[in-house]
Amino acid sequence: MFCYQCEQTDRSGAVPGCQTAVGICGKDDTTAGLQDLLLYMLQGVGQYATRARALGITDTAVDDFIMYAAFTTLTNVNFAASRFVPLIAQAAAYRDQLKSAYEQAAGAGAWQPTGPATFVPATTLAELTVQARAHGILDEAVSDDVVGLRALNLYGFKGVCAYAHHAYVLGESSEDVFAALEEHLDFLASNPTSLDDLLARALALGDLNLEVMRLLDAANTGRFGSPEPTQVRISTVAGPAILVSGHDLADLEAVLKATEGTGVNVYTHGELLPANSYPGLKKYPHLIGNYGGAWQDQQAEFAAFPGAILMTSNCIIQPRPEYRARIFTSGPVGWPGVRHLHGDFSQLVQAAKALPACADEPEKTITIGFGRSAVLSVAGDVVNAVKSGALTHFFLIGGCDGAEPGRNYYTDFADGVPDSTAVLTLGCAKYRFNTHEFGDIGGIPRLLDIGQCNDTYSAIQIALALADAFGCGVNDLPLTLVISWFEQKATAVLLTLLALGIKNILIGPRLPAYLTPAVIDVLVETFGLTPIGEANADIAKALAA
Amino acid sequence: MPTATFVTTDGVAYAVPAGPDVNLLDAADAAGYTLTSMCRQGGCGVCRARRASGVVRVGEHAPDALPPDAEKTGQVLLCRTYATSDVTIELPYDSTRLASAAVPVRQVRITSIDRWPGGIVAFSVVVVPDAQHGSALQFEAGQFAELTPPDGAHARVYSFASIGNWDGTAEFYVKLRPGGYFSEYLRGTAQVGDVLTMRGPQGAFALHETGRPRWMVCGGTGLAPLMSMLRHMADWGETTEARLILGVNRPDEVFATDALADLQASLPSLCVLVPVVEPDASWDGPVGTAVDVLARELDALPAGAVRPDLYLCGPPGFLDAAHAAAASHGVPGDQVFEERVLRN
Repeated sequence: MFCYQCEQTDRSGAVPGCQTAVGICGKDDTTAGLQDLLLYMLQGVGQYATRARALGITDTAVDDFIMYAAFTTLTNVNFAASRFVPLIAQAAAYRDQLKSAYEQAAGAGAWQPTGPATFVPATTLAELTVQARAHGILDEAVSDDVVGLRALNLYGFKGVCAYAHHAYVLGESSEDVFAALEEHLDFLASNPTSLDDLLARALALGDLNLEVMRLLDAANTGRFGSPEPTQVRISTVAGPAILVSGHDLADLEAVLKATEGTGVNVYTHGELLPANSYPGLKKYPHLIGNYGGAWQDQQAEFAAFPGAILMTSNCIIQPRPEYRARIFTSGPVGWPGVRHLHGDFSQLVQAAKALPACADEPEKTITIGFGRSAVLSVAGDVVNAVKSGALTHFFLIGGCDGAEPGRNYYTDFADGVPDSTAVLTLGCAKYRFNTHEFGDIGGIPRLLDIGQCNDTYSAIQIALALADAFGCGVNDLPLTLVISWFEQKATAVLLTLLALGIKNILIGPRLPAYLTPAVIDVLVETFGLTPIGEANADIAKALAA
Repeated sequence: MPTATFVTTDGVAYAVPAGPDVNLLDAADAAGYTLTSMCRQGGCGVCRARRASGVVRVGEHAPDALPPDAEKTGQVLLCRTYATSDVTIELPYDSTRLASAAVPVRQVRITSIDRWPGGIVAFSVVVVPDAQHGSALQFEAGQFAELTPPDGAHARVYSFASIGNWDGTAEFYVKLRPGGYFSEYLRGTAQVGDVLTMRGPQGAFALHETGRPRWMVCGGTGLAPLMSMLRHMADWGETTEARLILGVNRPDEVFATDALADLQASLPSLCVLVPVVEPDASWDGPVGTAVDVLARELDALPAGAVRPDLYLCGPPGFLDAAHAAAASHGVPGDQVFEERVLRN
């Protein structure tokens, strides 16, 4: 296998990347190869979808499939090799269906297919594994810079697809987005070699992701209302229970409906913590609160949780024997030997009833729910606090958490900022410090959690609204973005921020391994993208800017 | 104090304090790691592993559990092995099989006892719910449990023939043997409603997801863990090609026919072959041992065809013969998974 799509990729060798039988994330070479092959097949789908769309032929089922299939290949999503055999077959079926429709419409002048449009996948896992070896990300025929920028375009695409899938399952989609996704696949299928084109395409992905995240914001708030400041319980109450992890609000809602009146309580975990602030979800009295912290702690937390567990999207890691029989997956997630549920959560409820109950613990709470609606409702107070000098700076600490020691930076950063500043959080990096005491500035809490990484649009809208209130650009605000990246959703978000022209972002704990020194130089020169250093020094530098 | 480092097949290493007075199984236990084991007295072979480096002392054990040839290649029984230097031990399973919690001990109530041909008893149990474990009974297809009858005198080990479930039920197969402790209990006082003590699930015999066909080969009650695996495949709707070769001695010893018919109905990819060693005039099925039929089936594969994964369950002699047949027909050693059955 060769994979370097996430932050934790093996950097011990001369060439960074996981290259052994099992990657650091736990994905084996068979599954990694099949995922490479699936992405290659999707490029073939994109080749025909783009050309068919130009002739007025579209198929929403195909676009749904593209988003879902790409999502399965993100870090910590699907480790079940057997799931990729039917996915590859489905990709071939959709591609060939589009091919027929296109060729019928195009007539004699039809495009002559090349590359993945002509590839014939095998039908068995063993044969597909052999075929996969020829379709990885590496390409000895081009420079490392080209390979790295192709990787940026592929991994950013995966992130956009993941967010678009989240929006789609909640009923929000757009033909323009579908067209752009198809066209990006067609671009990747062309084996691009121009560095300028590749960089421009990556930034265009950032623009596309902004639109996708707008759709996702509309989907979340349209279905569940705007998040509102909420005291969330982070300790258990007595009773049988289900723990829902991942990001998928639709699945959480389905679980809440399936458990209504059953006596089974529901807790969120990881990136689902912000779900507790949506009126449409917190109205369920058996949504008790949140249990545990960020994804990388799940093995200990799931083992300690006595009830049934559902992982709805990224980020699953190897289930321990202590809970392997009582964890379920849904949506794009998969793990060999773990039961996958297709929208019917009755088995999950049955499991929760049969498993030991949670204990009654003393009540502990944290405050969340500062999405754009809540923050902008007090925009006047915020502006006044800035103008009076009581509030001197905003730090947005966003992105993923992870296991490596370098991520203590984000704790040190949050704890080290002056009392006259506010800390906005987004994503699961906040778990490192969201139980610390931050106090308030004139009644405005200093720690404001905007939500999941899925809520990036909300953060951008807050920044734009503040810039508008101050009559300046986002880059002129007393605002520093401190990004903790881990996987491909974060890559898509980073591209969005860069596409918006936001400069001087601090990023860590390490830069993506696929970005070559030359590409990093361009990003530093053009956008002031800065690797994190020492927390206090970075704070001082940000405040002095 | 020496350190014992256990390395799983996926490369995860667990270092624990060890020493000349504590066996490696207990050393792992003391450090919070529960390694796969059964009798813990050198008799069953379940805790077999490979010494990759270091010096050890190996205590007395049954030759069936660790034959001299295997010992010469570095194989050890962890329950009978003591480290006299730092040692590295390769475990034959991946890190997901290594539990950090104690093996559950639960009470189960017998719900049915059925006497089958060939002196085989199939009995079912349901767990007695408790606060620590609830009312579910979850395990991996292929695992086993230690069962202790109501007199509490001894525990005996049996593989689950059923699959994990939320109703707390399980099924076991027992071959009645003259003078056998559990056999005598089943033959004599056992009745529906009896409460047994169950220590389990345990064991690392489990399905591997490779995409290759799965051939399962056994004799007699060696069927139990393979039945569990096939039922798991049926329950999960798996389409992987599967074959079951269940050997018995005589036609009148053919058992589990209804259960196998049900299984075939729910697992269309399954082909069942039941050979007998001593056919009578009425027998029109395959003849020979299960290993004979395995060899014939492997012979019949087209040249270049993917070799199947083999799942074997039986006594040492059976396993040796099956391994030899597999090797002579080009099935790589890492495609053969086994559960060793020793009389207990």
